[in-house]
Amino acid sequence: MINCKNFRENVCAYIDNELNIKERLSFDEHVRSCRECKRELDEMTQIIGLCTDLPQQELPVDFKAELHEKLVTVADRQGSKVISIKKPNGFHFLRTFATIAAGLLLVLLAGSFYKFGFFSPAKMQDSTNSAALAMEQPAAAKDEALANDSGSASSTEMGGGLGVQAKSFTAQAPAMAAPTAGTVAGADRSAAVQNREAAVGQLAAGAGTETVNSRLSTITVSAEDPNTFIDKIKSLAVANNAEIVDNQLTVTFSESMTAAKQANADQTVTAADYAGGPEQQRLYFTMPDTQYEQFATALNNEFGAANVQVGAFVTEDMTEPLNRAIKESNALDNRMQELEKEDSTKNASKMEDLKAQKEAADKRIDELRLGNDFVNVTILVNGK
Amino acid sequence: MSSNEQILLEKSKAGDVAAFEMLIEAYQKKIFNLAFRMIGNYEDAGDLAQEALIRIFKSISNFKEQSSLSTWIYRITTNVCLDEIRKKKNRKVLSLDEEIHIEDGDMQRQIMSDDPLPDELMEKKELRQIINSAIDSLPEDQRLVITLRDIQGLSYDEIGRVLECPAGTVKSRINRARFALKNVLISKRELLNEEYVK
Repeated sequence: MINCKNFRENVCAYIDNELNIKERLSFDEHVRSCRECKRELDEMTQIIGLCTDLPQQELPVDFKAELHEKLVTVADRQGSKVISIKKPNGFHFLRTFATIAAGLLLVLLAGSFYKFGFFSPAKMQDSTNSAALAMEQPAAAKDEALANDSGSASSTEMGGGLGVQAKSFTAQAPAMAAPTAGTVAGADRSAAVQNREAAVGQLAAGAGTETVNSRLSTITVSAEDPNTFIDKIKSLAVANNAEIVDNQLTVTFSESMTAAKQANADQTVTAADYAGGPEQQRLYFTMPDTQYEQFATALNNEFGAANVQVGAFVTEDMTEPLNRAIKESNALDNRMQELEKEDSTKNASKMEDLKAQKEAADKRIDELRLGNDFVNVTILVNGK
Repeated sequence: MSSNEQILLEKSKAGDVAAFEMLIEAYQKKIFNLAFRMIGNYEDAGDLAQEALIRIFKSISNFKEQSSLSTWIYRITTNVCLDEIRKKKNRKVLSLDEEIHIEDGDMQRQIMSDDPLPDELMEKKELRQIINSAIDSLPEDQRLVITLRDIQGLSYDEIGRVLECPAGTVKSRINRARFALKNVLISKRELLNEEYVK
């Protein structure tokens, strides 16, 4: 029962809608009959209104940049993994990924061999060593497990709604007996690597062919303000293990603007002149294909299905370039072996040259092979 | 928590800076505004908000998800702000009316009053200034509950979880704070009226 005595204890909770129905009705009843308490209620309502109307302060301009630096320093000190968006420096990230996957494969193979009795207890030491080697990357393995889990979870809900084509795994290697696949994190990737390794083995023996593809997908996002959206897209991409390859700003003039610009060729074009023309930003990156559907879903969720158009994969057969690169690498290898037999002091610079060429060819082979597991994504962000 | 947020949280726990930055994107401004309200100036609020976010990043691997992420973030920010206020109190503060020693003898330090003129009172900007300075003049525990409730829009229950106290305590604390605020505003109004009469 609300009276003048306990009115003050409840007035704020009443305004904040934190009284239960019974208390609220009792409060209403008292206020109707007591002019003094009604005045107090009105004053307090006004004061609370003034407080809730206070505008929020904007973040200082350099807040995020400063914070980023501090976070990176802390992460470095804690010895954890830091992902930063950077310009490409070869396929370092992809190679690391492949190394981890190869490590997992070793563990899987060792496990299955043991299961089928290929290893005697005396030989077990070997497999334990490989297991230990692979376990040096626990954080990355955990990440991969997480990524794969969510990737497979989202693949069913995507089911054509976004028009994403089925992934085309075309690594046509002879199937090996699959070791305990599915029970270990990253099994998909391990299986792909396994197929690839098997194919490489066969190629070396001249007994089979390896097919590789390069896949390109274009996603178009319509945005009110492309500049702010591009950061969100980058973050979503990084969260899905993408490596940002490049992004560039493309400003497209509207037709009328182009005409105006041509008419006044000498006139300096100012920022204000761009206002009429649609602005477009492009962002390029590579992404593990297991993450691609999840990334597309995330974009849809973030910007709304109406603003996101996911194009179909454009697949290019890269088998020929791969075979050429392998041939080149083998030929360079042979020439280096021949040179080594001769007087090495005379051929030092030639040898260096060959080494560099072979490294370039091997790098190309790595990149081409990874094309099966990664998608090249182009994001076009169009201003509205 | 959405599945996206859950993934970002897991990655943040593994020390992934980019994921952490995405995770806190929606909270940064709130953290900054809470710090601003508690510490009272823009520059210090920036430093304090960053300190809170660093502390959140450092301890996110220990976040047990027993409370919601936002409650946990508010709790850490609140603790960082209260720590800073306590530290500040221990530092020597220049008194506004202390004597200044000059060659011609001692004189009283005079500070210009920030109070707005009565005829400008109705202007929104001035009114906001009055409310701001009134909130700033409250003790920090009262300032905190008013900020969490009125500026951040948390319910009594949520405030209770942030401050780790029962909702009943939150109710009485908010009540005390609002009446204290009202008293400050009334005394300001009286002061202004007196000046106007002169």
